[in-house]
Amino acid sequence: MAFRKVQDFDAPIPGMAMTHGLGDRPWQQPSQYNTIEEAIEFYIPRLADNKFAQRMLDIIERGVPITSLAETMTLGGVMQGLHTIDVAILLNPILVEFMEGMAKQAEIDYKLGDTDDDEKEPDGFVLREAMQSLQKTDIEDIDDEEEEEPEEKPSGGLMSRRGI
Amino acid sequence: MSFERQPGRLATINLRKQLDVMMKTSEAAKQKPTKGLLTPQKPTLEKQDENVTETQRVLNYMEAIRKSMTTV
Repeated sequence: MAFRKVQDFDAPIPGMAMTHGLGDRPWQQPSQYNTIEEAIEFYIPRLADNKFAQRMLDIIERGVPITSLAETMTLGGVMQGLHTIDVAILLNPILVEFMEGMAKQAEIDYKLGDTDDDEKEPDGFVLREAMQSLQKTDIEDIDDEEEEEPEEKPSGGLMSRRGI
Repeated sequence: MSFERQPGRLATINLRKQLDVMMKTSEAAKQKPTKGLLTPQKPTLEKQDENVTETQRVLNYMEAIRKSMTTV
């Protein structure tokens, strides 16, 4: 049976869902992007970003199917509370189309993951490493943005707090 | 592929097939433009915008991306 391929030790512990209050998790909150258009505006500029695109193309070149990549990204979006699962499923074909176009333009070999030959589970290690490297890109970008912020000027009022 | 990842993959596979068919039919329609006096002047897409389904919207975006990526 196909669904027994999931490793037992990676599965959540029974009752784990009740360890947090209802509404504490990001996906239990109202989503940030409610329509496909809003979600596209979030994803496409990120995918087209130079740093991100280079890493993504490296991963595609390693043989990770594009459909798996898109699913991992949109699943991450759902877990962060960016959009709903419905939007994620509708978003997948669009992201696959975009990533395929990028791979074609970069003239690299790619697997789409839409044929029976591609249906084999991609190597878990490769996929994990790939997603970690993509996440690293995100973090680096955020770090860069933080550095660019100008320092706050100390307020010189009578009631302002002085350094402790 | 694990069971929880099937819907997205299936959506991609089915919509890509549909897009291929859609692009073929649109190309065929372009080849034979009707020039009669009673032919509608407005493009059909604008008419359908209000009642268009989400799947159709996704297909339109996919078509636009595919066209723009192949022309660059």
